[in-house]
Amino acid sequence: MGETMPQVTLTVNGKQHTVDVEGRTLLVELLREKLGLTGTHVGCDTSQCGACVVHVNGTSVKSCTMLALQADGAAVTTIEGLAAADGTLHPMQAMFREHHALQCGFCTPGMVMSAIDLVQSHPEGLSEQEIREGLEGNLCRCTGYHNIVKAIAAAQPLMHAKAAAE
Amino acid sequence: MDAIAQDTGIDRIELRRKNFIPADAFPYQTPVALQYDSGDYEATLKGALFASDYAGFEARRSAAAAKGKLRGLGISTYLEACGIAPSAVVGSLGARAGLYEVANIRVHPTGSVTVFTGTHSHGQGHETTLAQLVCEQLGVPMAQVEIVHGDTAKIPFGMGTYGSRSLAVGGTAMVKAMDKIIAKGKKIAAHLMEAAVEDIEFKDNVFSVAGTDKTKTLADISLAAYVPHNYPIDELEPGLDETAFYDPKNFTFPGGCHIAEVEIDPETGVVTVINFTAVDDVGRVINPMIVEGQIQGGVAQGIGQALLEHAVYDKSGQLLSGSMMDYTMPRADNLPNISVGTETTLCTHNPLGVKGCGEVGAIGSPPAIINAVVDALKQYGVRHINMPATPEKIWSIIQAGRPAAAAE
Repeated sequence: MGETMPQVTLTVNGKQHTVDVEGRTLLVELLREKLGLTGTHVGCDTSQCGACVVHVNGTSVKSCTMLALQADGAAVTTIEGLAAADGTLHPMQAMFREHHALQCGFCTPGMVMSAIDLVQSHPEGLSEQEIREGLEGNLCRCTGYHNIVKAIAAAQPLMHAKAAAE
Repeated sequence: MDAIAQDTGIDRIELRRKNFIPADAFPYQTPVALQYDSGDYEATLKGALFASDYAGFEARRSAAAAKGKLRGLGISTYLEACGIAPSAVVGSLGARAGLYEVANIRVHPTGSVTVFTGTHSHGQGHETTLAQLVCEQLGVPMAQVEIVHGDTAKIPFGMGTYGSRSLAVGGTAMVKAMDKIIAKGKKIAAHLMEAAVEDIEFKDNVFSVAGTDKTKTLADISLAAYVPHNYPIDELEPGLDETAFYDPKNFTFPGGCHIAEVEIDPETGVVTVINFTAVDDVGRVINPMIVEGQIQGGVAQGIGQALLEHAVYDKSGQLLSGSMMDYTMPRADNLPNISVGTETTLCTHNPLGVKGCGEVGAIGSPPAIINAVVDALKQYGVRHINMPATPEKIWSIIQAGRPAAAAE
């Protein structure tokens, strides 16, 4: 009889899952391979590029550098969990589309998740320079960041207005 | 160019102007085989000088100096050969492939269209730009156009995406395939409307008989082609599905002017790019948003190359810059806003008038950045600096050029 595999229970995009995982399983592996949520990407696997960013209890986390077991009991949001049930995009997603803030799209899920946390944690608003500094952890090879910065600046008032209305 | 300007005492802008091929000298036969079809280098230079507020630079340099910063401005004017390429020419240069491109246009019985293209999109937005071509030529709404690329089990034998060729070569193959669709459609329309083929006109998705109110939509014609009950079956095959291969007659020659303004902190050698202005002639612009995005991305890559990125190996061949961090790919706060403008002269040898925009950003930007760094360091007698112009290199130059520090 081998040792039983540890279990992790977590909520992902509002749905509870209990999954057997190896101790070494990373959160991103749990999301992509066990739950089939492949919207979260793995770029560098060493927390340099930010393609794997998700929210854990509302805060952005590089999911390639967190063990699945550390997320036990947590509420995780991935890119798949942002749009409303009727398909209405999150304001950040809508502004990324509006401002052509993606080309190949590989960095986009992580970029959007980082940007949402960045805006949410700065209700006082962010300058262009502060947005650029806030994106330090996310790499993009296609856009030169120009339109990403524009999209985040445009999403700020929409997100704050939405939060105030809720 | 800047070193020559310095040695001859000719203003760096005037020196470039003296070497421009004037806009009225096209087509211009170069002494080295290539013939440039079109361009207006004065227009892109003028546009960039204006957009970057070149006239106000010396005042900005003085203001920066008052804060202890070294400010420099760099210009590059460039020309690129792309839209590759005439197969015979590249064959004579040793290439072992043809460099045509291919498109298959399938009009469905409903009038919707699928395009199978031999080029490939990995973020350049072909799904949008190529669909616009169908919209423009056949009058089919964007939502009814599908672009299929990349799957070799589905597409005809094409050559792919590189050398800023997708629109200039792949787009032209599409135009030629759509010409065939229209030519066949006219024959079907002539049969259905009992008119001579020469009297059939096609515009905005509709075939009409000249001088009458008789019309058939592309969908009507396509349905008749796939359900050939009333059809000139002795003369025409059923179906509305055409393929064209296009081998370009010449390269295309985008060109332009890039201006970079940088500020160096003499204490650390760190270069900050304050402004970057790119004014390029990429021929006709089909989708301005996509063109701007392509150029911004290219410029960012060029700035990275000029200031940060480097694959470093040690003597035994071990790669030392083996991670994103060590290689220093540019992050958002390493880059400025990138101001992009276009000045258009049409390419004269493809029907779209397009020249290509995928690489221009990365071609014009490294020399503009390096010229700006050299300009900022001119008081230290610097004439050239190898890429990447890292803080360490710049700091060493500044240290070497400084009067010895006062004794303790």
